[in-house]
Amino acid sequence: MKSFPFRGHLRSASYGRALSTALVTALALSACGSDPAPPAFTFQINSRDVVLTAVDRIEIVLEPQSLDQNFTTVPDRSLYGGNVFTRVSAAGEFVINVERPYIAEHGHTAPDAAFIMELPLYSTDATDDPVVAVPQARTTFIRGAERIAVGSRFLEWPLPAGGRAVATVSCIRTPMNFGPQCTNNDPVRLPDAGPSGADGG
Amino acid sequence: MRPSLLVCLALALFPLGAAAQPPGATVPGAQAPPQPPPAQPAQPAQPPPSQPPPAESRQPPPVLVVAWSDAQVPPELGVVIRDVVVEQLTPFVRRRPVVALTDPSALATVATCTEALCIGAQIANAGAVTGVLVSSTRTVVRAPARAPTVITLQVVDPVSGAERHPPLTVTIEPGEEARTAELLAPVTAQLGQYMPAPPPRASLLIATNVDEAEVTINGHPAGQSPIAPIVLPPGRYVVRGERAGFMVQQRTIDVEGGQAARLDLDLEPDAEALALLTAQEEEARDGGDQGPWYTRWYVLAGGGAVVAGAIVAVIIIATSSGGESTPSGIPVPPIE
Repeated sequence: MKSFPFRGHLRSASYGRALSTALVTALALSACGSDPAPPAFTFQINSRDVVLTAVDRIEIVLEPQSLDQNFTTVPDRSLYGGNVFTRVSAAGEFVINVERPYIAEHGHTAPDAAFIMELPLYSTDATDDPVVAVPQARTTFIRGAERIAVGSRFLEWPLPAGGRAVATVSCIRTPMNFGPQCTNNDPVRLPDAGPSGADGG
Repeated sequence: MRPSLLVCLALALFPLGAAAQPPGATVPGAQAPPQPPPAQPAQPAQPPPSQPPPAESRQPPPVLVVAWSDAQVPPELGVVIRDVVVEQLTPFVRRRPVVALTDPSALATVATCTEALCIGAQIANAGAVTGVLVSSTRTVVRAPARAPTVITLQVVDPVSGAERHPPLTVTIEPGEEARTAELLAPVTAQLGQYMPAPPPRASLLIATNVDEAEVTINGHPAGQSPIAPIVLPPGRYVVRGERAGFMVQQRTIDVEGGQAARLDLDLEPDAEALALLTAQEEEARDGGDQGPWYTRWYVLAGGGAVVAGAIVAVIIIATSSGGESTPSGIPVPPIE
């Protein structure tokens, strides 16, 4: 009686390779079915001397440490219903502009902080490049057209999924001047649209 | 369609190419673990490294914080002020350390200096590129504990001791000592604009005599040769190159700021490893030629993988509507 045709030709090594290859491929395929979203990196902005309602806009500039390194140019983006804008500046910095509605919705206070807000970020390329130094995040609070508070800190790079960095922002003030622009809850708009009646001609 | 789904379909269609990859390693953009180096059937005997890898790159000239207090200021408060200034100035100094002058004799000399040249000389002696003078004083009217502490800060140049700006002051009222960092933050932020420019970077060209050698710098993968010049901070680097069939080469190089350095890695063939490689290639060729085509291991593996892939692809397509592979948040592009 003729035996099963494969049996006489298969050597143990080949059979093992066939099995392991099929197994690895099947495992790889089965792993594809469940790829939950990794958690974002949380960039938390804290301030003890700037009240929430005094901030009209927040600008966060991620700046590469090296002068010859830049963020990859990507198209400008509008997120969160148009309340967060991102762009890459001509200097190669990644700029995030957070508008008032997002601040109002996500900002809050705490017993030890007058201002807390979190911003989820994630690196689109998680490759660890040894020659890329960690970027610095410069956070600026803007009221009307005036910079009222600044803070800086370095970020891990690439941004670790699930990680967190807390940036402390302090009111800009001269010595002995306690900066009412940071504590006045009644925003005073600068005449960026021009005084009323000035266009009358 | 999700990128991972594309990968899965590709795996289903071309299972043989994926057989050597670890599961999930080809999903783009995901937080995949680093891939292990490709299997090298003939790993040559590695000579011991000539030098241990360095722990740190060489530091560029620092910014020196010179802080002193008068007799009415508690010494522990003086230390806090000094450390706070060092910590708060660090973010404004790119790739430079900020250090405090702690040598008592040097501090005493600075405190008694009456000329800018005297202060500048002390800063230059410390090898610093910039000095930050921080003096803390209390004008005692009734009791020292009830007097405010006045901190004066000023950035000066080394050697000349020239002042870069008018002195800035911060007053800490009695009972506000716990808020020292908070009170100093706005002023140190102003000092940030007077901090020195970042030290120049260097470039390193790694040239190998054979292509496709895996190159690492201080243990980090730098790619396969040929490699374009790499921009990096000045310092000492351990460069290692290896390729199957060749002896591992490792060299150490000191790269100066602004320098375009070149390092040649000459990988010498390893006769023993090459012989083993050749034998394994012959064995693989012989094994593949025996028997009908349908008995070859890759045909069997491919058939099995296609069946498994088809089943899993159907499951994925059926469940892909609720899947999400990118985190919610603001995407930040890579740095190049």
